Amino acid sequence: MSQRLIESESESGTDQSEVRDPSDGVKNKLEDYTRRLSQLGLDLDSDSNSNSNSSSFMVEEAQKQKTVDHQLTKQGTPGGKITIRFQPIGAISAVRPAACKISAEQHFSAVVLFLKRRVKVDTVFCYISNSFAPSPQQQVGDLWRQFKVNDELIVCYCATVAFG
Amino acid sequence: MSIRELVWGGTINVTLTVDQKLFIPGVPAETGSLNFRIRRDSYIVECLPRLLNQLQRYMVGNLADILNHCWLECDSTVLPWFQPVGVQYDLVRYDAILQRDEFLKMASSVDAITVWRIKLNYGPTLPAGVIPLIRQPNQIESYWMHRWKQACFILNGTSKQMMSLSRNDSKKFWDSVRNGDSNDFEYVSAKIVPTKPRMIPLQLHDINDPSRIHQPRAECENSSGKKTSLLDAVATTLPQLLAEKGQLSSSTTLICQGIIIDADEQLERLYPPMKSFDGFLHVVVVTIL
Repeated sequence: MSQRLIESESESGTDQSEVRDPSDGVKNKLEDYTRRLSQLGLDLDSDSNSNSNSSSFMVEEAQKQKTVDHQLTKQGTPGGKITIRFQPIGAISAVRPAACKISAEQHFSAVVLFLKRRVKVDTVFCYISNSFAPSPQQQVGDLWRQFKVNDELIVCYCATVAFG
Repeated sequence: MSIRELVWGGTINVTLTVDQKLFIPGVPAETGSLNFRIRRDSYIVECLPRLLNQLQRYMVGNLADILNHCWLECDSTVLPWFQPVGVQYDLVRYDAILQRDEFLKMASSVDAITVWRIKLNYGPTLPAGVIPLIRQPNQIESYWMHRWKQACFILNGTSKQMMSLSRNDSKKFWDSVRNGDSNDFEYVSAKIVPTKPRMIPLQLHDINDPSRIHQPRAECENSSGKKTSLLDAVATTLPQLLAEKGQLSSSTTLICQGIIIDADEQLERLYPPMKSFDGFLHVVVVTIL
């Protein structure tokens, strides 16, 4: 599951087997609402929509969508995706390619699961900034904003405890 | 008493009801109910083995197995073990905090206390999203240490201060949390927390989406040198909560360590007295929809 949520960064750019981001569905919904609004011949300002329940609902949805888009792109995570660079510690095998893209809304547990499957190990210890292990419930977008280096979140991983 | 002493000494009255499945048939239901007081700045699972030990003669199965397959709930909401007790309480019982004034008026005329009723459930599989406890109690200590390393990195730009603690200080630090020793805690944390932090380790917990913990990048000063307020951090993370003129909407309240706090408070001033025992400043965002 997590393997499908994380996309590898190929040498020429992003992989063609890119998995759709959850926000794509919402974007499509917004486009659909916009199309339907234009068919109705209504503007998006609240005054002109106050007389119609259905159109005001669509405007509310569009405003909600704006908030979602803001959440996804806030503090520099364009498109709601961030780059993770994996660095092996010790004898554990390296992930190829080393950089991957992942939705900023994913939990860190998805990264751990991805690594376990890629490296084919039962246990993997992951660290940020060569010092601490984040909580599995932390969102990778939050970690990226706070600990990024050259716009990449560096995740070091090891088969045993490296930083206790 | 200073604010720091009040925060450190804050406690919650708890009634824990243990799943009846864990008892020998015929044991009365009231036997599985424990009343105790717990520090807000602690992990509830840390004291769970001691509590269950009291009931072990009535229970089936061994304690290690029970601890691997149990989880805590309050009104059918799962309480994650890795969050401080106080944060969990504020998230599920925010109504008690919002109505505290009325309660205190009532309590002055009658003999009343607030009790948090929670349940310890047991099952072969844990609910989705629950992190299993497999290495009690080392897992909790290790988790807490990594929380402090993360907080240290945010405060200083490096985890060196935390990683270079002597073995003795590291032990003293964890023991201070276990035993509620504020002197030892303040002594060791003073080696980690700088007088002028770079950024503040802040976590925002939204009652309407408790599984999503927001950890914004909370700098002490913005680029123009203005001190950052809690409102600035909330505005960046949860912009939908803002009303006109950039203020919080009237339906939103911010709670930290069980008290309602002013959104305009500077983060740099708020952190030292109100920080949690894991090095983070936890703020619960209550929005009544």
